[in-house]
Amino acid sequence: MIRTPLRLYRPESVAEATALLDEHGDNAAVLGGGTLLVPALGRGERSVTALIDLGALGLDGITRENDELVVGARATYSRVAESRLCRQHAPLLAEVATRITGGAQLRNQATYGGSACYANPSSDAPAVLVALQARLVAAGTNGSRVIDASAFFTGAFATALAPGELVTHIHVPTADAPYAYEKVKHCEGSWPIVTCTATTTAAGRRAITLGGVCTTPVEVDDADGGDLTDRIVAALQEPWSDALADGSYRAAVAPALARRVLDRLDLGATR
Amino acid sequence: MTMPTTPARPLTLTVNGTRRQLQAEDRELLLDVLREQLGLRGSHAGCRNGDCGACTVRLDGRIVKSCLVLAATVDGAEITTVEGLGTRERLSTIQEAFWAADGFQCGFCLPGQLFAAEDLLAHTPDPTEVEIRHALQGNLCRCTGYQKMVEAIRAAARDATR
Repeated sequence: MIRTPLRLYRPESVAEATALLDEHGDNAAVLGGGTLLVPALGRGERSVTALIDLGALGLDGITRENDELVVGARATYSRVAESRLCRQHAPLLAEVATRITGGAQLRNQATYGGSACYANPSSDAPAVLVALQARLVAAGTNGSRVIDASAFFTGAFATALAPGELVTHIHVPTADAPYAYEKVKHCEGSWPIVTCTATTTAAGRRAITLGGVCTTPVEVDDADGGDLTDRIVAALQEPWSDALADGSYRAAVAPALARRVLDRLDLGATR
Repeated sequence: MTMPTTPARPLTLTVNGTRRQLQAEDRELLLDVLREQLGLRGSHAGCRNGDCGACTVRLDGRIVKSCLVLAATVDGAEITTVEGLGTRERLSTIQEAFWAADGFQCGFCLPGQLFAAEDLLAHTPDPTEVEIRHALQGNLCRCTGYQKMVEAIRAAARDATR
């Protein structure tokens, strides 16, 4: 049991949810799938008196609006992986969802939205959302605003969300351009140590997005010619260290992973 | 030290086919409610961090790790625990397969492995070894080395598809 008492709120509208978050301030946390927050509360790493559960807001759907998919913040990885819309129009999002660590159970519980808000550098979601040029919808008591994924992640475990804001949806542009994705992790149950996405931009350029190497995702493309690997090395000046791996290791392994992913992209493989 | 308490709220859960009414504080985990209030000790508390999978149950048709679920968030849900899979006299197909293949040793992780295996076979009746190993990814075992589990699941699939 969580050691400190708390009250669970289950708002039925986004307005009600943001009002609760505003009212309780630092004493509140937003509960999505719970896979990160619940154990953190259990260990006493976080302590709040109010939990605002997104479960009754109807945010678990995936829809298509013009040339974007709109993924609810409460849509689980399983839901994304199984979604015909995602598989067809955002296959990278669907594929990465099937490969999230923790087994089918975790994928039935955890969400891209939650992982984005947690912003652990060593996780799949941030760099994938950046690679897909996704945008996150942040709701507060004064309404909603849209934040580009590349601006959303501001540091390790830090985002552009202002106090009192919560993520309601993720907008992902539909794309059928080839892509490739790989990650380094040293055992099946590990958080990823480095992730790498290679995509082809609308202009036909190859772009690399690295996750886990620095505190926020790193984007490199071959816009002006030149060697991509050299550019990656140049971009990794301040690599991220945590209990899984030292920054120097991450920076050393990232170019190798990028080369592998680019090879797959060039071969027309989609993963 | 006594822990401060908060008022409990009434919850209704259908557990292994039986409707159960109970009271739980908002901070209580589904795992603890199942074990302590309902006496269903088959769901095991291993890591309480979502890593080991020993607490796995089926919740409204999907397998979940019950240490990551607050009971108050699943009011009205249908839950199956390992006690609902089979009985001592009549094991379920997958339990029988694990028994026959020596698919467990100490047994601590077994309830979770059974749910992961069952979930796999429900979606993929004739899985490859890679698919089987992928399906056991969220369940740690420190005894078997997984080999016998893979064999058990393969045998269960073979029997079912024959």
